[in-house]
Amino acid sequence: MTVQTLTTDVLIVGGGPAGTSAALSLLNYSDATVMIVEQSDYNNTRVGEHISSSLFDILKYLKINKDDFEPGSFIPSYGNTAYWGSNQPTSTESIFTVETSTFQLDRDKFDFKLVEQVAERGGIVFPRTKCLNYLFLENNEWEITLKHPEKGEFTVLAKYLIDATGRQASVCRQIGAPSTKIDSLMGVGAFFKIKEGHKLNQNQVLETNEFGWWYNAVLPDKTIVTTLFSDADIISEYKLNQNDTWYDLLQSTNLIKHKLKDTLSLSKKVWVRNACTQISDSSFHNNFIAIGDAASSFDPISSMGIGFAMSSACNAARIIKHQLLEKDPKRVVSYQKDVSNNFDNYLRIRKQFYQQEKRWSSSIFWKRRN
Amino acid sequence: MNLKISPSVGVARLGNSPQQFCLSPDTIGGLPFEADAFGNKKGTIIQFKDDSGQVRRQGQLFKIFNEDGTEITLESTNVNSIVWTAHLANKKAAWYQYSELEGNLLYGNENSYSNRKVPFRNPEITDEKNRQQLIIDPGPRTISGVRQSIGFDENNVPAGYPSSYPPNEVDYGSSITTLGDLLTDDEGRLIVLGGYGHAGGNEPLTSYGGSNTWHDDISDGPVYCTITFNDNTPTVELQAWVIVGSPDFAPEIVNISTLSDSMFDVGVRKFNLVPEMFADGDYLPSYVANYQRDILPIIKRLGAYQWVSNVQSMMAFTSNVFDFSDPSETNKANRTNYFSYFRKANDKLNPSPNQPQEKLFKENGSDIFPMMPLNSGSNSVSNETIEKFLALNETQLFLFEQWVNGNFVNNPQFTPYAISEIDMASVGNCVGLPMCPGIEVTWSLQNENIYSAPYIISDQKGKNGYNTTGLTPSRDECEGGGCEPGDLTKRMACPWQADFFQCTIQYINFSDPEINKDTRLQTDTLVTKKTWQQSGAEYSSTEVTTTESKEPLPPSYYTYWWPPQSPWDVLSGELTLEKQQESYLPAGQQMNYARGINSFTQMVEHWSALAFIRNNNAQDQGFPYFTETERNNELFSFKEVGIGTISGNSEDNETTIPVFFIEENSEKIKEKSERAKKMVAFLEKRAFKSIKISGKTLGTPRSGTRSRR
Repeated sequence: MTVQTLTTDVLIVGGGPAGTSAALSLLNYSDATVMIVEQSDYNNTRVGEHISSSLFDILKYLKINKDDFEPGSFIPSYGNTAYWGSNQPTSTESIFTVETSTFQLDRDKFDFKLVEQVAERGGIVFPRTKCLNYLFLENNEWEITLKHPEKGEFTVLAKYLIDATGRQASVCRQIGAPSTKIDSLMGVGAFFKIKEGHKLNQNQVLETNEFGWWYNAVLPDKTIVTTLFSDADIISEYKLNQNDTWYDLLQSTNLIKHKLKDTLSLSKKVWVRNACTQISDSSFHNNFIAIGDAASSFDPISSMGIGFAMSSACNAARIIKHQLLEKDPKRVVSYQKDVSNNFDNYLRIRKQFYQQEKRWSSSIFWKRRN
Repeated sequence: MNLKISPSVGVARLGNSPQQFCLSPDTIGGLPFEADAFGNKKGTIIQFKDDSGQVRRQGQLFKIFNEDGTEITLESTNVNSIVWTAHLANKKAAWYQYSELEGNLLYGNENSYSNRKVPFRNPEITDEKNRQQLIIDPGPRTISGVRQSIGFDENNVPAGYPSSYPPNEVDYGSSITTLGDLLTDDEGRLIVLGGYGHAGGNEPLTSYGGSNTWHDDISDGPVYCTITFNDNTPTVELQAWVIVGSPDFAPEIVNISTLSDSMFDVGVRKFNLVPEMFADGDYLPSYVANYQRDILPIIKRLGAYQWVSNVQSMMAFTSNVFDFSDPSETNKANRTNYFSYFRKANDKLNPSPNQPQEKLFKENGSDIFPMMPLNSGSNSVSNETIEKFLALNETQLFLFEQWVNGNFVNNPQFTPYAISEIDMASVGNCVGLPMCPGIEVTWSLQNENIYSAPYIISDQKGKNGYNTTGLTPSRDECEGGGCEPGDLTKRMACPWQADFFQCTIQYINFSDPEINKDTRLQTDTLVTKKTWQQSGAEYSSTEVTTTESKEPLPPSYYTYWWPPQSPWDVLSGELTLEKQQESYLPAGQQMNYARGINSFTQMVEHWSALAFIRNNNAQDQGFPYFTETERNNELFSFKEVGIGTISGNSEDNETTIPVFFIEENSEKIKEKSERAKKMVAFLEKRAFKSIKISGKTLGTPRSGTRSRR
């Protein structure tokens, strides 16, 4: 059986904000052809993030107006509360935020718009498609084997490969790019639906405990996400990923338990998601670059994820445009340096955040961060 | 040259995976095989389901053999061409309502459908022409060469053939557009693939026999082969048959009496298959049985039922209480005692109700032990032509008698019977007894009139014989004259999921040989009395309510139907944290197999979520370890329900009952975004526009990377 082979200049693995931003940059500012491989069917729930208004500058660069997005894509956030470092509630801005006005993203609406723009500008998107194998050929091109559940296997030949697979950094891992892990933070959470006839303000609540901290946010479609962040070893030792333990702990929160009074649980059992801080090295391999969470991933407390995903994507796209013309590996080295600088800066900010909580001095989670 | 198609009766199985398929086992109790997209046979099956948890179809590979055992393919030097034709059909909707043993002519002509006044399915359609339209008849399909394929869908109906397909719109389930596909592999062998497990109709399903307006995509029909040669060898025409059955969810567990045993029994008694064993209407006591070939497999099968059902008495019965293989006279008392536990077969033509298969226990003073096999017979349901408990078929029983009498040898190097292993294997993996109606086919296969020779189905009109007329809706092939396409499966439940869901266990009355079910009348009397204290006035009223329900008459015994095909008590097998969280179970707990599927409709929609029961220690024969594998746990929700929620006493909540169910809402939550779906459809259409997938729509089978647990 002959396997169908397609060619492209750039193959982007991952169709989230990083992957689509890289695609849009390339489509806007170069002649490169672009393909995106997304393994999901875009039907999974993506947790919205708190973003700063500087995101609109990046969108402008990607030639998308704020008004192009559906109404409700960006919800101004207000009245955010934190029990962080004190038994008295304070506003989160006073503790964490570097910039002033912040927004809550509707990730469905936001991500869909970006994907649609990629398609509209001539990018090819393969949803529900998995990458089975990456082969770096002698002519410095990539041969990637892909598989779609109905169309079967096919091959793409690409001059350049981008890892935009998020925290998993699956491409990095498969081709052996080194990465450094700073912590093993994970979120254990559940979704709740606000009952008919009840209303809740679009706000966020943060509360610490000896194991880590709780995050509670109202999402745009009348759902609430509640997550307990802690380290993997602590989660496993105290069985924080079991329904019973998780709900018991939830009952000992100050404010969050009240937020969930008029809700129905949407998750049969609590889910676990990776939220670790780590950095990968993109300069490791020719004609390869990692962007977004795959390049470096941040503690969600920093609200840096989406901003970095999109800005690193734009930077990477600029480098790829030049590299496709002149093949100068130094540029990737300078990209990697920028990523590292940004990461060091983030680590400082992270330390500042965690140092404001001194109440759990004997707890291993807080000791690790103070 | 004396050529034949093998297997002579092939068995394919349904699957709902749109792309992937495997090939049928070629031994009794063997596993299916992997195949590439063209049907070229590879190694033992890795997974029964595809990436999205849908069951892979199981194709039947047909080969041509010379009498010396050599295979003939397109690679054979003198072969010019091999042209295959198959004609699948589904006649269920046009046939009679399933009515247990009524219509079975082995009980004499007075038991015919018309004499028993058995109603047709879809009885409001009365004239023959319109009843013919109830048949799913795509007509024949022909294929030749290598790597070819053709579907039994509407687009490929031969010009002029009076085909008929069921309606496109159904209220329940999904409509049927095809009965399967024919493929040829790299050497021109034939692979028959059946349907996708689709079933649909407009009336709610209420009984194990199915409902009117329903159709499913089960089928059967003849397979023909024309071989031409490039030397002077004359052209050869061959014929075989293929049956499409429901998935075999425990392929390694063999029925006590298989369909091969039924065909063998008919062959011995009616076709002179083993003249040393049976001649002039009688078994010959001089016949020397072989322990390894004739006895041991049956004892092993009794024991293996434990992996799919709870029949402790059968387990006890198969433990080596004495040396079963010892033919000596000193061992005869043991053998005689052992065989005394076997139930003898009913005499079908004797109308007396006091027959051996109505008896449950062997009694010895006050001692009792269930007679063997402890399983339902072919009619433990209705009161017409009762056959409560299972007995081995006549030939199996005869061979046991030879064993009792010491007239056997214990030689593993036995001479096989005059039927090839492949011919025995395909049907050996189907139910032979009981038949009510059964899983793949039913009691018509016990009737010699449907055969032209042992293991060969008699074909009524031959290749292209129905090209102008189509098929007949009401002709009973058991009267003789040969079978039409669809005749072997037309008596089965319509849809098959109805029988599969409802018939795994049965409460069987064992006190009255003439009654299975009786109508229970329950009368509840409510007396209300009111008294006025001062005046002494009184008022009283009496309210009587009567309820009526038909149920197995107590006392009854908990009995199984065909657990190797439709398992009931199985071990949970998930071994990782993640999988156990999804399944809500530790490994090694005996659970109900169909847990979470709680209605006919759910069975029609979600049958493919059921587990395959697989031996996890298959390398080491004799130490089987069967557990559930590949169950789609994520479909099911779980709750522990406190007894107090039913009794009203909160103290009772310290005891809980596990409840599994399908949460309709959570599925809707998953499908929350219609927009995401549309977007993905659009992106895929665009992205794959330029990609041609070879071999029509058949993708490659999955590779063996994922653990099969």
